[in-house]
Amino acid sequence: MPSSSEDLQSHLRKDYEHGFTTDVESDTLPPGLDEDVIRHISHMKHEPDFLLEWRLEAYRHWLTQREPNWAKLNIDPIDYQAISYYSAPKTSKDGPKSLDEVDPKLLETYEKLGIPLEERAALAGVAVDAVFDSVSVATTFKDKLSKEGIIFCPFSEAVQNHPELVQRYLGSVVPTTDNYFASLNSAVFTDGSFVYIPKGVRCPMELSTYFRINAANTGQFERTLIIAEAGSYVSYLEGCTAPQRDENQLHAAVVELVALEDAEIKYSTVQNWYPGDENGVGGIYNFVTKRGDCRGDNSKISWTQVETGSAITWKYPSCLLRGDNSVGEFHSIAVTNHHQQADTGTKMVHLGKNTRSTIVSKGISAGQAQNAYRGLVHMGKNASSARNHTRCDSLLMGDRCGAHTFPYMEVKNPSARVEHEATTSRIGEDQLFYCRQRGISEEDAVSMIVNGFCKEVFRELPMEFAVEAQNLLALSLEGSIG
Amino acid sequence: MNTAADMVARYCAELASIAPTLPAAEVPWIQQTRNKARDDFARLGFPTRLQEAWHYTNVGALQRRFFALESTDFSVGQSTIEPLLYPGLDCHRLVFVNGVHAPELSAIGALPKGVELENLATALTRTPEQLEPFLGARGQQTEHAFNALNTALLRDGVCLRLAPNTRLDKPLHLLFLSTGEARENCAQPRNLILAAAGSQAVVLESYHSLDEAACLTNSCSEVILEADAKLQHYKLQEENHQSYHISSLQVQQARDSHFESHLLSLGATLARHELNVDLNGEGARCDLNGLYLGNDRQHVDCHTEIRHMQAGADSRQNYKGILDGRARGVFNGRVYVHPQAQQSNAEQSNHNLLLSANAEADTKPELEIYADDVRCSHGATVGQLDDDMLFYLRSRGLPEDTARGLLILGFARNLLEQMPLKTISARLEQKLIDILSQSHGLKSLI
Amino acid sequence: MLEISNLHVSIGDQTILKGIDLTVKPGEVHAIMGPNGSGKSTLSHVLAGREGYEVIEGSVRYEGKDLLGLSPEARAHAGIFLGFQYPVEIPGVNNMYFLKAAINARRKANGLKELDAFDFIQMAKKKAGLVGLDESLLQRAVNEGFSGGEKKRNEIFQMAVLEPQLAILDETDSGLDIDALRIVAEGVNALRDPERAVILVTHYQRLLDYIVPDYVHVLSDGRIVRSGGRELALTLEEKGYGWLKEAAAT
Repeated sequence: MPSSSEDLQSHLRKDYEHGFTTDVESDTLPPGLDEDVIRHISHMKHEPDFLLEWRLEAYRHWLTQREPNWAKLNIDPIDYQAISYYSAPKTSKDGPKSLDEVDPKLLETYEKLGIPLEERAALAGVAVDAVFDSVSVATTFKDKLSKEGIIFCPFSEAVQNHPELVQRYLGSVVPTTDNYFASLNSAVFTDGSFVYIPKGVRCPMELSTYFRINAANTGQFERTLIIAEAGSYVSYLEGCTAPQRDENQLHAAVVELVALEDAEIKYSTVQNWYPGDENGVGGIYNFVTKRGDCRGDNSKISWTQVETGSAITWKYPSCLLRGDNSVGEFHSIAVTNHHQQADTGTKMVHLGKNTRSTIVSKGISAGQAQNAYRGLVHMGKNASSARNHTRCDSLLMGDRCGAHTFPYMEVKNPSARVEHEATTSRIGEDQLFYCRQRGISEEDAVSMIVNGFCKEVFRELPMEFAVEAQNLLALSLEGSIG
Repeated sequence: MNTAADMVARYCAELASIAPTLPAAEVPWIQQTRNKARDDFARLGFPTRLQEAWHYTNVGALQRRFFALESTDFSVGQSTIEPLLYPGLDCHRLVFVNGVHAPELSAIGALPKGVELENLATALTRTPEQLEPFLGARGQQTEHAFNALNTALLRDGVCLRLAPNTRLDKPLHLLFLSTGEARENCAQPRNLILAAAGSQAVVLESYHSLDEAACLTNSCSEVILEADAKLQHYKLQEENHQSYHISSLQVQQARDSHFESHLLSLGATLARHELNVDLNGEGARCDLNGLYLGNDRQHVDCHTEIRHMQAGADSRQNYKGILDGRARGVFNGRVYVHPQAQQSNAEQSNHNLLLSANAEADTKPELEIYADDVRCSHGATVGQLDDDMLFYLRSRGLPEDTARGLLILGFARNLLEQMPLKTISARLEQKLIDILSQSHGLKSLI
Repeated sequence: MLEISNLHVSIGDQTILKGIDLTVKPGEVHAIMGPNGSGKSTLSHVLAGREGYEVIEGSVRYEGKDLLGLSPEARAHAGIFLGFQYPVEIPGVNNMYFLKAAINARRKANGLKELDAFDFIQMAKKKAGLVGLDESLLQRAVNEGFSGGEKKRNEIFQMAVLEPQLAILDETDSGLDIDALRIVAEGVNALRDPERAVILVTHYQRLLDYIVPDYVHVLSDGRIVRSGGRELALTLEEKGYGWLKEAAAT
């Protein structure tokens, strides 16, 4: 929440703030996808054979699949041959060893994005891995983290330095055959983040990655893998932006989390890809597969997301609750305005005994946008005494948008308990009048009420992210009031 | 052999061969409607789990056997139906055996002025032109395989027509009986209720098996309520555990009309109840209550879709499932609010009791909302009997199974209490107690 | 300070207020009494600028300027406070945050420096003590899950913080037990000031035992049928509203 109405006003006046492009020479593959492209990507990244084979297998499977069409989304056909599957800023070829070696233009970009790199990062206690188009550019605080035995690096670096970990865990949560976009990602992913927290280690700072799509006609296919060994803890933040372009750009990421016994992973996302303009031209197609595997007993994975960007969001961060007493959480705010479409939610698959899950989803729809919550709660046969509580609230702003709720609940264990509740409403006239009677302008009142509506989710975000997220919310609802 | 496609072909062949013997076969629009529906059915085939509407219900077992469509003479005596009647319920009665009207068992009695009540075959022959707007090809759901199969036969059922401001003086009891004798039969009742402005009626449909033969009931009903009309609808489904029951009820409601539905599903190995309501006018209101019990390997699936098409309409749904043995219960309720339908109120709830390790409950309450000034909510739960309540009853000296039985009855009872017609709810409650006494120690109490 | 003349107001095609004349000067406390449906709440809402009411005739001037053209927030900035009969719940919006936004919006509109968090909290805590509002309620969402009495107390607390020139309290006494009523009344009395006016809208005279008004007006069927001093309220209590109708008939 901005501290005064002035801040909010200045935010509301802004257009998409991150819509600039950076003039950096980049190495880009020509558009098109076939096995040679995949071999080329793998070759450029000096990958071991197992990875190339793994990619090719995924690609062959992808060819046999069709795009899913069950979501409540209206998608213009995507020409997968018109996309370039690799784009790297030229300077990164040799891999910067420290921030000094990073192209100053890139650093400038991050500064514009408000990324706390360099000292600012230190003050904020955040270690940042920035993925620019398809490659990781710089990872700060590597030294400090490595003292704890923590590995936090670009995915491609992990492939070089820790191939055994990559081979062991890659695809173990989201197999190459999982779904259309996961198969595509497995075939062509270029970079992403890799995190490994050793046994019993509590990661001393928030780990953070910023993703940015820059070059035109490129797709971004990042791959993130986080492994939390027994008794460890990590909080990971992810932010996303993209420049303003007329054409739709494809983003198909895969995130895999593995939590072993007593481990906890907290994964927070503020997604602010370019949403397209107010007429629905341009914007990112965001088709993401995120899944966490609570493999060990007493483990916990929580997803928190604030989704304000993208023309289309197709995303269901999920938890496989395999270990007994494991806990899954999903806290989500999805805001759609203008012509944005979101079909998002979660899957909580309870397999272990006494597993618990909580789902809190807040959907806000304005303009002519469509916002759907889609979620599955599955209580398997052995999930005795498992519990789920789901709360989905939708807020409609204006009479041309839509808010939809599609929960699926499957219960196969007689001691499991599932509760789901959902409401749909708009901002009450009596609430607005009450605020205005106290002297608060209508716009501020709306912003205040919306933030109040989302509060349960903001509370889950790390402090500095929460502030950014609240600003984003105000920004994306610009012009939807009154 | 015996693939789904073969079976579809076999139904179509039989439909074609009996077509000339069907009522009003010579009327062109009726012929066209049947033919088109047969083509639709041939094209669609039986639904599969890949279709979202059938995600939780597999009709594979149903399509592996053939249920004969051709009607034969069955001798059912008055004494057979006696136990199926509602003592103390003064009513008009129509009885159908395997989907065909049995006049000797029916007792329509004297009707108030302005009420036309007859079986559909008679109506089709007597006034086909009046029925065309409702049963003609134009009004049919062409993408629904079971509706298409029903329409392809379009043989018999009830046809109730109420003139403006008339009131059906007594409840109408429709008794649908299935009997196999030597073979597995298919009953496909087709019902039409047209209630003109300001008219009122109470209708009870009950479905029973007369023997242990596996039969298929595929019923299809249409209700049209004009302005201010009121219909109270009860449905009791208690066919034997070998049978299949598929039904769809489509309701169109004009302004200020009120539709009230009470469903009790007890029987059949697979029961599917579809109830679709379109609220097409301001002040229209529907209240849908449903209670489904499953035991053994029963599968029961309740599907509702309420479409708020105009402003200022209200809908309320309350469905409850009690699942024991290896039963599976499914609830899929959808509320759709059209962009024009401001000031809609929709409430939807589904609660399930899971009583055994092998039972399963799947629930999918959906909201699809395109208007902002609405109040829509839904809630769904799957759970068990409350331990504290159970303990409380036991501490008062009740044996555990009796205590459980009582609590289950309590869970179900508030739905029965919603029924305005006490002669019906009392009878249904007794049914429930009978069923619960088999697995729980309720008998000692009552 | 406030001049209402010949005010006619309708909702839809129903006329609720049928010619109200009322003048309120700084430092005065006016009680407006009347049976249910007489138009008391309509009058409060119209003065605060709630939408949905149509002024069909007459005028309202506040500090010499036309009031009716102003938005609700502009009226609040000008010092008008409405204590709601049914205070609204705003889920998730922290009470303190809400009030800070309100007070600073007003200060800004009046060209004053905004309060910083520290000063604000000091002041708010003091005022909370004044009206006996449990401090834990300050950190809760606005009115969410408050009891009826807590909501009303929160209204008085907000009034104390916002220090209005003209406070209109719409049935603030309804639903309060005698102790709560006393505390609310003490809060109002503490705010009495030669520069500040109060309009108390109430159905019962018991509030007036605690807040002694300068004038009492009786509203019936959209008109002020009788005005007088404190004694009018007592007569009303004794004889009931029926007495007025009889008096009006003769």
